[in-house]
Amino acid sequence: MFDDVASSALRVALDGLAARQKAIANNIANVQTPGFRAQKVEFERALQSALAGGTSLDQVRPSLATSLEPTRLDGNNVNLDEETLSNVDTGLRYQLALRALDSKYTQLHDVIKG
Amino acid sequence: MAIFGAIGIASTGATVYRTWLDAISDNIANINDATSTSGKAFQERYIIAQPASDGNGAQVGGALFGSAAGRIVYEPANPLADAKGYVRYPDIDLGTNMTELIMAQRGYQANLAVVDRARDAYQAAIQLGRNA
Amino acid sequence: MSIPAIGAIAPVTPVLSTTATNPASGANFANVLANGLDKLQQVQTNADNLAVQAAAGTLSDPAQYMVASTEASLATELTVAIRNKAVDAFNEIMRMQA
Repeated sequence: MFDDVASSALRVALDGLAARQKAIANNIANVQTPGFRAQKVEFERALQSALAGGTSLDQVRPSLATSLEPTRLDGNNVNLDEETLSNVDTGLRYQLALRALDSKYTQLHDVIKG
Repeated sequence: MAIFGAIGIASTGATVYRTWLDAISDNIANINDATSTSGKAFQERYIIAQPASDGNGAQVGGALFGSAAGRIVYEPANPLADAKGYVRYPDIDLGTNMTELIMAQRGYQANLAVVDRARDAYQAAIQLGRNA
Repeated sequence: MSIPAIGAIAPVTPVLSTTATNPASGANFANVLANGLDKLQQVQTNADNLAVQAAAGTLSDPAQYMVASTEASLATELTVAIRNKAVDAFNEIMRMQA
């Protein structure tokens, strides 16, 4: 009942977006740390290829990658504007995924309760 | 990383304006750097803004530097003065740079206003059908 | 300037008898319900596809998904309501003494 493609994909997305929020918070906290490289969370490409290939979505996990943007003089390469706006974007995506799961579960409630 | 359209584009714009702000503040901070006539004066930095290569937003295409000749000023008391008493100063106009500072700040704020509006619009879309 | 005299009042033409109210309007509402039931599967599949796109980050317009998801909820609620009414009606009939 909970294993259809849409619910699994939404659960993977929620995990990935929560991981991304954490990475962004970490990057913003370290914006002045010398030598710190920004961390990015990647899960969308893995999810898309799993969907296209028809493989099980339970194996898709968010992955951390280090940003290769050029660094400033102190060795730090965190771009504050990009991190702040990416925070806004991730928050909106998270809300959308939650609403999507909520609406699916509400439909199941309706059908069961009659 | 895919970003909701308007927010991603505004993010590239904000980065360009911030880079411009950094360049202008560097110019203004070094406006009175004296060097000897045998060396180069501090060169004013200009940022080249161009459309982003993937078509979404803007990017910094590079930086250009102003003239290294600067202005020659007669200051025999300056320890860097040459035999004839001349010192080289950068050829940077404070008025122009202050105007550009205001333009860069306004541009940065305008991009952030775009993000605000886009975020409100997306949140209204997410609330669709909620009152059922 | 000469003012023209007031003419005689023209006779009133009889009003055409109104046609009876279109009886199909009752059937139109029935069509709405029937269509709602038929399209339930299609609407839910559409909403699911858009949900997968939203999860994978390829959805460019969140409003599109929200509209599809609201349509799917409404279609589900409609189907459940009709099922309940049908079951109630069946029970009523079964309760009738022979």
